[in-house]
Amino acid sequence: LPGPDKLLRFERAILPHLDAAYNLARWLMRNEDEAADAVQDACLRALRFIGGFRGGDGRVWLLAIVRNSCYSRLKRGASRESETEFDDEIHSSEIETATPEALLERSRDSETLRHALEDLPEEFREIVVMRELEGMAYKQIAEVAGVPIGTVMSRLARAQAPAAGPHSRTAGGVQK
Amino acid sequence: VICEDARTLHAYVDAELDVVRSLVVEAHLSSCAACAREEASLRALRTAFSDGALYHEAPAGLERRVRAAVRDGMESRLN
Repeated sequence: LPGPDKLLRFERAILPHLDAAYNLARWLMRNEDEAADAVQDACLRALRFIGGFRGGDGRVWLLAIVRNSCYSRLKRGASRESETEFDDEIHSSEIETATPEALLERSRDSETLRHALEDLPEEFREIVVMRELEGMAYKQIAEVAGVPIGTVMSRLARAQAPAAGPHSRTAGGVQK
Repeated sequence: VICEDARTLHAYVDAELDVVRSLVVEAHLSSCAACAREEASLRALRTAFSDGALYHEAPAGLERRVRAAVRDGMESRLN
């Protein structure tokens, strides 16, 4: 594809989804600058591969690239981190919250809900973000995350399940 | 089956079921109080998410920055 055509296709199909790209990146990276870098990175890659974009859903196509850029960055960050000494004090609280804890129990206000979503492991967090914040269909989410629709459904159900599982909730609500 | 598998109720609330299965869930909800409570909670959660407070819109300069990077990228390839 010649340069001007590439640029035109990129501007029409990809640029309109910059908010969606940033939202997903921001939730995955948990940091504004890292999210912006990941989006820019993803856009450059999107331009490079735009010839292979066959006019489907530009948002799904871009988000798949954004997600890939984010995970590459997270992996690089994690390998840097593992070189520094492991600090039990800092990490013990993270381990406690690293299970898909009931969003339901923490949906009282948006601040509490924000923290609950931040605490979810990435593979659950990205799916909740695409479903609840981006309003995407299961099929689109499955395409972006590269998993079967059944996996999307299981992760949504697990992330949003009551703490004690269906029908066994106590009157007190949150169970530790 | 609906009581045991949370995914069905989620898919129902997300309007992801076909009409026949939706009708089955609807009938179940009218007779199962526990599932009906669960459905109400799920809808409340969706409402909480949908007020936009948790959505991170792209910062003001990002589109300009991306356009500039894309332009640079194309020029360096031509040269």
